[in-house]
Amino acid sequence: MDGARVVARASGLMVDDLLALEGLPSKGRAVYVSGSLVEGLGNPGSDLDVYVVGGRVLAPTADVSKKHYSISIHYCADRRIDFEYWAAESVERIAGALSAVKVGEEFVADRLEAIDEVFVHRLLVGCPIGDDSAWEELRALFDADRFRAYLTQQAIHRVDGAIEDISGMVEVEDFASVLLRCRDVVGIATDAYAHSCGSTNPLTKWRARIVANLPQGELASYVRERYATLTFGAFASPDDGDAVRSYIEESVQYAHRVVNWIQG
Amino acid sequence: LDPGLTEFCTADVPVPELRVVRRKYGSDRFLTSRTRFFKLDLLADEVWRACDGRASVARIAEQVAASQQRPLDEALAATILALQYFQRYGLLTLRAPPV
Repeated sequence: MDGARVVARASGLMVDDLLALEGLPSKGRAVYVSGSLVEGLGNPGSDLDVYVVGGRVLAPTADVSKKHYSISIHYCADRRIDFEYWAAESVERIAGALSAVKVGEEFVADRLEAIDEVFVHRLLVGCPIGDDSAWEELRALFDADRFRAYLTQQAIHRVDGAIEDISGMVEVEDFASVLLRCRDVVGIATDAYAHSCGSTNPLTKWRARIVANLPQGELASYVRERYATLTFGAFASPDDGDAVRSYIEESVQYAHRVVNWIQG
Repeated sequence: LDPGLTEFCTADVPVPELRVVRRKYGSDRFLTSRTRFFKLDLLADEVWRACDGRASVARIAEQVAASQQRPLDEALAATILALQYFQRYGLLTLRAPPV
């Protein structure tokens, strides 16, 4: 998608006017729009996220300061626009952490912080609106295939953890907890499948939309149907032992099948 | 001499234990059950993957015969052997088929 078109649709502004909100020069820094509006997942209430990467200076007038970045907030035509300022060192740290991940050879879960995962994803799906060469240089720091493989493997590790929990909860007949954990395992296995199919979006809030948009594939119909049934279908009452056992069996079986398919 | 006798009903359904997961590391496949790891050869892996909690022993042996292009009796013997190992290590249980 074209960055200028995203900006115009979301805020009614031209790119130069958008950059002028923060007094950003058009050269020297990687500036790109990203987030749900770029991915086609957003809605009228969604923010437009503008990333500004490079240099050491963070937001000149930060409204929100986080550990690795700061945000400057504007409102235009009923749309909130967040300028996220990331320092070059923070981005290099994330790129280094991702490069060091050896998927398939070691335990990789949580090698990146959650906010770092969102940063990488937003960069991979983002559209430049400033200095194209600075954006391309930034983009080249991140290997999309490695990131997808990392997210997939991390989800598989989380499936394993959830199955451990489930088997323990079943042993002590903690049915209320096990039902919730089964629902988790269904969601996490679904994430693993979506990542293995190319999605790099780590945000759970978009899971249902991502499932709806899964590319056609050998297992896509099965994943859509099972995800919907096991997530939105009738949820067993913790007091109904037979129904709980059946839900556990179906959920865990779904997770196993998905992971086996991914791993071959 | 140490003769043994194990009854195997080909209509029985192998049901994996909840805590057992099959994972691939590099080119190797393993079953893990909490702190225990079992490396699978290709045949054992194929038998395990066919154990979906619904397929009977006979059905699994048919799948093995077809994929390995071996006679059914040979595939059945190999399937039973693999299932015995899985059972011995508490990785699955055999259930009578639903009536």
